[in-house]
Amino acid sequence: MRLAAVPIVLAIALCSPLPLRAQPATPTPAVVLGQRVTALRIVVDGVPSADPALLGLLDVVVGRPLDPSQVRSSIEHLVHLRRFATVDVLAEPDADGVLVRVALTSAQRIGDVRVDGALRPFGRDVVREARDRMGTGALTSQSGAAVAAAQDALGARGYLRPSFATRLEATDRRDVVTLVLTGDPGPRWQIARVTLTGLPSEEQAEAIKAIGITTGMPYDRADLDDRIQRYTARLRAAGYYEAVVRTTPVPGQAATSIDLAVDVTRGPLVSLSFEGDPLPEAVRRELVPVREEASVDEDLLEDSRNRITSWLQERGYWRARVSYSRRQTETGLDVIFTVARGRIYRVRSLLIGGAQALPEPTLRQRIPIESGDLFTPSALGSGIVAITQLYQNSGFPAARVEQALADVSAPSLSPDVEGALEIRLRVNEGVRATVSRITFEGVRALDEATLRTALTIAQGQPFSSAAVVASREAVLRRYLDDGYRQAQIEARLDNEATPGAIAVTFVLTEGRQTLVDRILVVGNARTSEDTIRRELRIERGQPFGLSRVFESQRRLTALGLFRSVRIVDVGQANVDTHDVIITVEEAPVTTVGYGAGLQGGQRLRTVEETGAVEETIEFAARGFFEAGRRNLWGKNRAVSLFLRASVRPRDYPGDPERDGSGLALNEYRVLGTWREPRALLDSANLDVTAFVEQAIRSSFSFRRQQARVDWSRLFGEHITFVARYGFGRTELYDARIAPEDQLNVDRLFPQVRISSVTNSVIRDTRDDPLDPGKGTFVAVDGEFAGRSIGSEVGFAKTLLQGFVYRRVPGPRRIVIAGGARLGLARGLPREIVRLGDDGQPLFGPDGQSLIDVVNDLPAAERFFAGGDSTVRGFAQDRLGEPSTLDRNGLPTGGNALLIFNGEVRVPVWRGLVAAGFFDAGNVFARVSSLDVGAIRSAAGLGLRYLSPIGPIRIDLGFKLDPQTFANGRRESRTALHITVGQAF
Amino acid sequence: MLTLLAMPAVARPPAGQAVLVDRLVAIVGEQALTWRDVEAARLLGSIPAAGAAAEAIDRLVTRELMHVEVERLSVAAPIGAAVDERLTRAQQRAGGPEAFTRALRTLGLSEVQAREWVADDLRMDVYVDQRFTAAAQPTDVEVAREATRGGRGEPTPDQLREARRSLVQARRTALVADWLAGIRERTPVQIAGTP
Repeated sequence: MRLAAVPIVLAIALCSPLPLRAQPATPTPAVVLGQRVTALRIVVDGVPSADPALLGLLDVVVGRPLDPSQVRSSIEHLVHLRRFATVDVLAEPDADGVLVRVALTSAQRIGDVRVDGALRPFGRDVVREARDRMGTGALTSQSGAAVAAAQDALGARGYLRPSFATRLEATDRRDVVTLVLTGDPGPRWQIARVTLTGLPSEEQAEAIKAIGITTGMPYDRADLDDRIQRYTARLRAAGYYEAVVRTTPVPGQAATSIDLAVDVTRGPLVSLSFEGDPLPEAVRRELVPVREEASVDEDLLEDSRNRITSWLQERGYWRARVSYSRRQTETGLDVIFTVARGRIYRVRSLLIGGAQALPEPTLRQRIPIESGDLFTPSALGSGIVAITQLYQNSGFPAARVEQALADVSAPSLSPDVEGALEIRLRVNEGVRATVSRITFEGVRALDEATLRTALTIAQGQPFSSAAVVASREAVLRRYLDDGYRQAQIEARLDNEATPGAIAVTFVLTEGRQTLVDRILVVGNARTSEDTIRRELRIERGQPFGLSRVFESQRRLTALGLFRSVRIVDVGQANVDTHDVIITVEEAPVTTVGYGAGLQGGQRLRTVEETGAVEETIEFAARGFFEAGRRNLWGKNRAVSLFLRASVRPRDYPGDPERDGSGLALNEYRVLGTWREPRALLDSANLDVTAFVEQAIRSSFSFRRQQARVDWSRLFGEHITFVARYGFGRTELYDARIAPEDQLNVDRLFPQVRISSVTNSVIRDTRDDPLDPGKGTFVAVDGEFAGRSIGSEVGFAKTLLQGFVYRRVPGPRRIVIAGGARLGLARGLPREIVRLGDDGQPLFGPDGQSLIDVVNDLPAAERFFAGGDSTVRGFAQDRLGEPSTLDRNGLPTGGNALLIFNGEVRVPVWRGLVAAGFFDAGNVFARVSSLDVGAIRSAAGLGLRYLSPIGPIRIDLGFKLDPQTFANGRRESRTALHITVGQAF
Repeated sequence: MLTLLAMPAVARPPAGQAVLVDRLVAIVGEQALTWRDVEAARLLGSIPAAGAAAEAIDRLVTRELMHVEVERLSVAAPIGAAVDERLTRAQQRAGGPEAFTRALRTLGLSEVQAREWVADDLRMDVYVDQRFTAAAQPTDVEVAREATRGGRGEPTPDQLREARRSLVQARRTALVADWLAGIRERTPVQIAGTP
């Protein structure tokens, strides 16, 4: 018998896909345990591996005795990598001890699911269903889920007996396979007979026709469900609010036929009516949702009654009375709501009594009700809660506030006469309590003195339940940050003998501390492990602290490389050290975006040979395309390309007949950026950008080619420092200002080379950069361009900007925004020898060369104002003190800028927001001429639609002080702007 | 190598021939279970000492699923005397305290870890009892019906007691099975080496 068994065992071993494994396994390790480990080998799929990452996961140490617990923990570490289906640890005795060999079999994951053969017509449904069931990165052992998904997908279409086979196809990655589903959908079941119950026989045929089921049609469950749903909705729309339609399929007589039983429970024909004071139809539907809920039961009607009452009371109808009745009729059920809203009540006075410890004005501030306001119970309720909390946080744990409402209206029977209400609040403060003692119980692992520093309560201070809760949370956080994840803390309050003295005891159950063992990174196919590990704030041997885990997660997410990041510890509950697994799901590396839109605003057009201009409303079609690829070489490097272009009326500045006629692609920008993360410092980025652009301003157009390097570093969460060097050339053309009125710099340098360095500090706490509702934005820029660094002209320029956004408390979510901008610049003087047409220097009567002095900034660098984002009563660039405008009112720009903005944004309906704004500011030729008294102002109204790409904005601004230009023309009163994005 | 696996544990194998020290047998959620855990569970009485390897692994997987659940629900630790009592029984099964200590050492377990293992077993038992025994109690009518099944006459008190016991047992088993099936459904379980 023994001899006969050997070939059988061998045969099984030869057939096994896993040659090292013989199931069931019963290792016999006693003979090798404790022996000195002489060497360690790792074999993956039968091939020796020298991967240091794998060797680093082994706790078994060469030169030390073989320890079974170390063998087990090594297996655990390897398993947590999620790369191996089997792990065997073997020991081979040699002369000096044992050689330990770790044999691993790679786990295979399903990378793609494909449908082949006769199932191809169902491919999309089957693959989608299978993906939903299995998720990403499913193991091959989960192939069954794909089959079940395919079965459901076909079943829903009427193929009730499909047959399936699966096969795994290799990919170019050894650990990833493609799951291929093949098989036969089999016959499609058909509806053989339809029976309908629940309706009178004379209505049945019509109902079946309305549902749309016919004999012989395929038994398509999804389609059938749709038809039933539509029919049910139709019944409910006809007043059968409780209508329910069910279908029951049973096997038909033929092999592939289904008999369908349709049961219609129509319920009563409900007539819903409202009597008494009117309610808007939309409000009725919202407050009495009988159709949506498919019910007219007592609970729903009672809730509806309460909702109507509350709705009216919140609109000042304090004594609103609402009732309803259900009446059975011959045809069904009549539901009648009777509404008597009564008169509107306003608050005449608010009296607060009984308050001694806290000043009455402080309490009043907590109640959002003023005399003359409509009385709303919710406002009073929230005020009472706020006062109670204030007392409880000030050492009065038993404080209560009672309310009494007195009707002090003049007698009247007319509901149109407003009523008056006196609110009387009575505060029962109770005994003032103080914290007499603070003690800890159960503290062993952490230092009690350190824990005390986390407390927000102190001995002798007024007792506050909120402070006790906050202190408890703070202590718990200390434990969680130190790896005590099962820590529990309870705050026990004991009344002492002295009245009002409360002893606070924090009772701790510390639990076990979890320390970090191995940190394993999984799911990263393109991103290098180094890039991920650099962001981690947890370390091996350190506590698995909650704050560090959150910070690591935040930093990894901020890389922008991953769809999801998960950090979990894995290990046995009774072992202190746990492996930490960082699981990342990588985001697509290539991004493509495009869009198109319309921009509208006022442009200047030449109307006379003299160069006089007029503002006309023009629209420009705009489009953009962007493409980026990130995480290059797994190091989070990124490259991107951005293109933007506008088509707008053509410019002919000197030709009043043609100016503004025809269309041209006259604005564009092509920009490429390379981002190098962690440049010099961990938290810094280096961006290398090159762009070419062509842009139109009011009095000139320009083309620019520039390259620049930005080094930016984040300080904390909100502050960014940017250092920039830029080098480029700008060319002016289509100047509308007569040459004799142009500044020297524009005449002498129609093409100018600028080399400049800029430093910026930005503090940004806005909640949403596109549509901020709260927070601040402060930025300070300083730029220097000099001949010493390669610039043809020199200047120094600074711009200070500050914006603040506040959301007004209340349900309306009104936003108040304000801002200020101050720009200061100075040109560095340069003397230029005047040249004649032949290119030779010109000389004056004294025989000296004629010299022109350039001391202005180039046009594209000067400050301009007016337009959709500065002072909105003015067209683009048209704001400036007289010395910055030519005789026709065309702007030359200036060296100083001052702008103030204020805006109120009021949501009105869904994504629509109305706005009112006030802007003021001006552009000054020199810094020395900056004068706050010379600023000009504008006010206006606007409308925004909050679209997915940002607010689409229409603003109409009015100048508050229109003036007359030197040519006698008067400024237009208004300016219209249509664009995307908030003004500031 | 296969022949080596069947060799008596005490003999040192010849040089160059491998002995399987430990191996992955299953992964429950994120938790790896090895053959050493199967042996520990047998030694400490968590699963029957005898039986086929596949069955033992299945029972260990079930134990781990229950363990995850009692950890999640923070079930209280048992009293020390109950742990002592179980450990004493384990020692008796192992052939005495010394053999038991030797067996623990072979598995790389300390006595503290053995106590924690047994305490976890007790927590699971307590949890299952608290959750399912009361829920499995039949009504008097059901007990009487069970006791008179098969056309027997008026049941005796003993028959009623036995009928109640068997009803509770059957229902409790069904409830626990449902509970475990639910946990299994939401916890990925992978038996090592299965494709």
